Amino acid sequence: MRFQASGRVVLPGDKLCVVEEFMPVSGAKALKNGAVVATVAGIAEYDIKKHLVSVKPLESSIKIRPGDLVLCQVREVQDRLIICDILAAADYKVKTNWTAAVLHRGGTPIFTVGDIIVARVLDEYSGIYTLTVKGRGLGVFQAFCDICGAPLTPRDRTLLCLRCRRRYSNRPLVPYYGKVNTLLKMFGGLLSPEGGGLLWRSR
Amino acid sequence: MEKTEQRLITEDGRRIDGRALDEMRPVRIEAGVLDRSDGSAYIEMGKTKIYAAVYGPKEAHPRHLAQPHKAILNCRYHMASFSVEGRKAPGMTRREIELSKVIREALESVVILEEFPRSAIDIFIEVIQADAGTRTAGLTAASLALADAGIPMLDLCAGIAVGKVEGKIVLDPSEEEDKKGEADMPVAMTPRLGSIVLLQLNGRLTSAEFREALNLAKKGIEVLYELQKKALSKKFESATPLGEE
Amino acid sequence: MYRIGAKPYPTKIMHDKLYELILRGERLDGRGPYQYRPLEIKTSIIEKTDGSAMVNLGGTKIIAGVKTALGQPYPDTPDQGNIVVNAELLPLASSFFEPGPPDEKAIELARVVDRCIRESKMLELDKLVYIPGRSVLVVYIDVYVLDYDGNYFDPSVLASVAALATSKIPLYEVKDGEVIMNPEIRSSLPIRRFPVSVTIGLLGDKILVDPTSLEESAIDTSIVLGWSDDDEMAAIQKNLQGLIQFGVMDEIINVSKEKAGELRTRLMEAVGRVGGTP
Repeated sequence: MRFQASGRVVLPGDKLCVVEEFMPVSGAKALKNGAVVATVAGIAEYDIKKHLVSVKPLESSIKIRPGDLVLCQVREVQDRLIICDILAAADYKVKTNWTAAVLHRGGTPIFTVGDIIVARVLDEYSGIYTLTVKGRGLGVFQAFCDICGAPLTPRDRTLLCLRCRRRYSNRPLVPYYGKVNTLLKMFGGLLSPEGGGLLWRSR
Repeated sequence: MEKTEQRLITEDGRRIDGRALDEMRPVRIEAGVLDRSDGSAYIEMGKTKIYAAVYGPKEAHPRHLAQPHKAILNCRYHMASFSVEGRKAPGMTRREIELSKVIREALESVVILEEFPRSAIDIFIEVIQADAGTRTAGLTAASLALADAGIPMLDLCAGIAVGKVEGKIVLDPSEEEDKKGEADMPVAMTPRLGSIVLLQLNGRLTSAEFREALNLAKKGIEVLYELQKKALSKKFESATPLGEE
Repeated sequence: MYRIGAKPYPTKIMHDKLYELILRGERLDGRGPYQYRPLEIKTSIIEKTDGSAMVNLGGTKIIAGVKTALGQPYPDTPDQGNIVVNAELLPLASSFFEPGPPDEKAIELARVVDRCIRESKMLELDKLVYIPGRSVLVVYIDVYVLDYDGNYFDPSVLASVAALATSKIPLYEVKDGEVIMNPEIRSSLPIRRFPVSVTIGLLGDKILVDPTSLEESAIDTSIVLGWSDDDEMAAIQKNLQGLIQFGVMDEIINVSKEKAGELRTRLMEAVGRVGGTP
């Protein structure tokens, strides 16, 4: 079989090589007869040293990947688990809402249902994303009072409910807490009609 | 009024619309025609006009339908009420439900569903004008829409109908040939793998005729596959790989 | 989900952003408040219909088809033809649309299109009667939303009217008390006028025409006005929840009247009836 050069545009079903030459990594799959075919439209890349072949997709179907910065809304608060919907991502459009979970130590929950949080994707396992809010620039963007549900106002690094005077000190805040323009600048995808899925599904 | 029945195939082997027996109708295929969807395609085969769109992978709803090890594929083949002679009731008929199923099963055999556990991929096929061969044209468009959406597949799918008209095997029968002909056989294949993903037959064929029909379909599918590739390449002409500027 | 003023909180963010822009006379996509998105009308695209049209308004794509058939008149109008409008928000058009029988949004769309056509007396229905009380022409209009980026009302009305205006119906003759169809001879439907509709979104006391789906999700409310003639309205539908301040109505009427004139000019060009009444 003739040598296949990297950088070639391939379409699903195009034969890349046989498994004896290169093993498929991503965007490629080995068939039962030993042939390796591309599974997505993209650019073929052959790693000659490691004998691996992959296809870099031109259009990706998996949008959310570990390491991404995402905007979420809390849906459910459990003992050690906070379940939220991913509304938008910083670098691309998210078309439908995905379920994600933030793990925490238990005790007083750090978020309330309805909170808008900025988090980073840690891992994806079997279609469920786990998130973290530990780190620079991560935390709650808009928090609400556990008891009366009013929006919280930042006061001396804590959050204060102006309606019932409760104070919350265990919530990680983003530096731009409550500043819509900064949020919109970060999550530019929000401005597209497809962006944010649930965000615009209000009607 | 002319009393004698009009012949569908003339003495010199031409069909009623002037085509040769193994000639398909003019085909137009485009990818990425609808903006909202994750992937879409449009196909025109003669007067048959079809849009297909793909949404997903997304979370499966209702939740109990989600499979822990793979994505589920939902397919809806639907005909517009003005797409046929007379007017079709707008809802889903039993025929449309059946065709949705066979198209879904055809696509399930090429889409790599294991890559998206707990997810759903929705495929919508909307026939805006029907003039025979809608299920195969719909499948051709749907597989292109899936590729346009970047969903991993072992191969594209393309389909075409073969008919038997006045004892002759013809490629891509028109509606008139379909109605008056003796048999109609929609075939869909994965062009590279060379395997059949959809096969139906309405009417009677001898085994020799069946073999002839299948070979004729394979020829047609190869032509369609080239057009699909062209449409995809055109869509991705200006694109750069993800993660590179 | 936490709601302020019956709106999910994230929507409020977008609402405030849009309001801030509209105060400066700007919109997210760079349009002015009273500016429509690019409009394209194509007629006679489906050969099997009696008349059809496809309308692209920005990212919204609508197709309408007209079919005619003989039928019985309604008991209360024995000397008039019938109009039947059906609309479907295809799941192909947006991830917000679900498969299944027409939901309340689709029914609302069909009924608004129906009202624009029926109430404007666009068709001379009394000319579509063959045997009074027994046999009249039924005009079926089917509207399909193929791609949805907000405001499906205006392009649906445009597509339906363009499809009707370019329809060629077969000739029906009465012979010995029977109606016989002659499909060889075809003629246009009797048309009096060309109704159009204008959709206006409201952000507080500010108005914007032709909202996109993003704007639709954040605006306070919206209103659809069907204009049957230069200075005559045939249908109004306020849709979405929310209030319209009374003082804004004047501006709504003036703006929509001007926009209706523009749309009608484009429509008449598309159906080949430039200048003057049909």
